[in-house]
Amino acid sequence: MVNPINNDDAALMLSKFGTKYLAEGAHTDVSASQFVAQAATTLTVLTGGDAAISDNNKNYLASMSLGSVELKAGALIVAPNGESFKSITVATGGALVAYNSVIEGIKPGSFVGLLDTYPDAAAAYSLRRLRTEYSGSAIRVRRTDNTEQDIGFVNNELDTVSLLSFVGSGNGFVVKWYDQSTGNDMGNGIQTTATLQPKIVDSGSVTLENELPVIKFDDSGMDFESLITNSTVRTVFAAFNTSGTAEQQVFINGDFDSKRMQCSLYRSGAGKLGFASTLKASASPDVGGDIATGQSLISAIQTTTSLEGYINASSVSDSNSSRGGAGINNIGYQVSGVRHLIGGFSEYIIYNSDQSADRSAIETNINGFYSIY
Amino acid sequence: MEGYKFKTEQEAINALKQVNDKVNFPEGSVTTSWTTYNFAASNKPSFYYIASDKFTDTILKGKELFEVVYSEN
Repeated sequence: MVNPINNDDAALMLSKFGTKYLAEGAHTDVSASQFVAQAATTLTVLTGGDAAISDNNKNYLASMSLGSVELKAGALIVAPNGESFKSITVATGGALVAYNSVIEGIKPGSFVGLLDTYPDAAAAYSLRRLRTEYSGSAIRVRRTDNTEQDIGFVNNELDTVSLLSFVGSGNGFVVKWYDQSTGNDMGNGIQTTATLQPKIVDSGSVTLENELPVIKFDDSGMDFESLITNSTVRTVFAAFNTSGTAEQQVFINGDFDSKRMQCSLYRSGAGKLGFASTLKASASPDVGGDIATGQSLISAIQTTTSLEGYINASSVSDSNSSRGGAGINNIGYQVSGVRHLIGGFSEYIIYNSDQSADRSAIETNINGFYSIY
Repeated sequence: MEGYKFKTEQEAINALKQVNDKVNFPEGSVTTSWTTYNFAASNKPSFYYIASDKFTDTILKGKELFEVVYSEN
């Protein structure tokens, strides 16, 4: 999608086209369900299409105040579900200036989630929507008066407006991290103990990493309601960040029978991350590599004969061992209450299958959203 | 760490109940407990403990500073 005004200087575009708005033929890759305003305008009437303009994809709006629906130069209106704009009345300074007659079309860039393209995850947790047909919430949040509320998505990202409206100026803690997979093997991430719940709102502000919401773990952690089915073949992707210098648990997944796949920081020294797995049938070395503070994407693939680790899409092969010890599913801490992750999690996806063929593409998808490396 | 040590699990359970009795979680809440207790299995002698936090500190008495020995696994 290219918005011509965003690509060229506005004055140049005015000179080039000489009208208050672009003719359909002047649009570049703009389909018929879109309207481009070239100058600051006020949308006074919207008929046809979807009247719920507030639901439009914000990615295509340069600026919009929903009371008078004021559009700034370069703003692009897109019908939420590809509805036609049969008639749009645009005014500047209260004076009617034009009717846009662009009709019929399909919303560009229809949402495709990571799990739509790479399905069959055993469990999938994220602060963005991962699957088109997933209609549940992202997280359940507890505010300081101990009231809880589910928080969903807007435009396929965490609904931070509802989140802040609910939490107010205090702190908000994540009680549940909902599983967006088909939910056959593993339940929702859950923490029933208040003092162990990770944070999503800190003094009235959403916790962020790279300008995107992140669940902050600090002396906290999250278990999973039900146990993932053990599999001798498993692939894990995790977008997380660390700011601490002590040993920290990143994740453990497995069962109570001591079969598990795990990842931790710093067992082999500061700045080191290690993966280990007891699920593979034959012994192969634990692997790890150097890791910096800040956000990282880590991936691990175990088969019956091997364990591969990746940090920011690069293979790691140091013989760093992961610290584990608890044969239970959790992220951010051990069940014994030590070595907490000092950092945050944005996404955590587990496949009970070998995703070697799609590993690079999945990493690209995750990095494309979070801009990690 | 700062917290409260107990020789037996029952003592820890009783202390935890003392804290939770002061908290009101609305009906239907997923959150069921304010804090929790852990077992310092590798310490000699071993003990149970509840970590310090602002709310717990208002209820339990005898906070002390101690180390929890990590297991090597």
